[in-house]
Amino acid sequence: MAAVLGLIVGVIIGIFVKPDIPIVLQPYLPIMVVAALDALLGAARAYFERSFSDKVFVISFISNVLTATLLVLLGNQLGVGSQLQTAVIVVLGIRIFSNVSAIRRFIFKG
Amino acid sequence: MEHNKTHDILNRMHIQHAHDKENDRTDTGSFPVVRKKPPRRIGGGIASRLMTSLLIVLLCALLGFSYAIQLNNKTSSYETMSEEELTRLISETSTQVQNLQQRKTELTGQLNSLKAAADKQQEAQRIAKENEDTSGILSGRLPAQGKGVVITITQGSKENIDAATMFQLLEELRNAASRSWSWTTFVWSPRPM
Repeated sequence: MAAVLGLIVGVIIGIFVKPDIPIVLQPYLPIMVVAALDALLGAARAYFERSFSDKVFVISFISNVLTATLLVLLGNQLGVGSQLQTAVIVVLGIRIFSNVSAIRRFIFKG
Repeated sequence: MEHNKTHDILNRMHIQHAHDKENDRTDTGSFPVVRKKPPRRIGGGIASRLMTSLLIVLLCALLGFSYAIQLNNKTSSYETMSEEELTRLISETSTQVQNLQQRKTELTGQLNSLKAAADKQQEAQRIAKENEDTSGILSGRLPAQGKGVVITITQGSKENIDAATMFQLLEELRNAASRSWSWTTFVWSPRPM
């Protein structure tokens, strides 16, 4: 499938090409990865529910990443950086688990 | 006969009641979700499907790329510390650097005296005796003496003091250049009522 292919291509490129990330973005990179993973799993669930729409996937991907980054940025500026980061990670983790269990229910429906 | 008739009537009433109850049940089963409009699978042309696939590949590549990058440079914990912690860390590190430089001059002096001494054996014994005292205190073999500092830890009003706080206290003491310590007195005084 296109998604798995894209993932593999991305990981391979990332391993071999080691670019320099701008310092300002470096603390937010893990949160962006988790948010993107959540969007990806949500799209996979929508695919299994036969309601996948690529527009929705792209928009939710970008908005998830942006929202997570902005929240962490806001938290750092307000001084509650690590707490807000923990909260964002917890919520994203909950969504990831619920999406995965929905996918599992669809796969093993029989 | 009478008893049989009432029993028969009762039985029929019971059965009728059961049937009525069954018929009057108003539970509905859970219906499958019916969407407002049917999912439009227009089945776009080759171009749009290709674009979709390309977009998906791009986004997933971005995800995998960021993941690989993140694996390569894990951010250290220094970025999560606040400013005052960092300044404190800097000042304590420079104190440690000074201590180590002092120790280095001591050792260099000992080495020089050892080299310059005519009778190496006696000189080596003298230096060993000198180091023995220092190492003894550091390793806890000899008791440390000195003015010291008295720290009073009282029971907290909100919650108990846990072991992690005590450990942090010890580490802070060590970082502030105390070589060794000994608990001389433990005074448990009850909280004033």
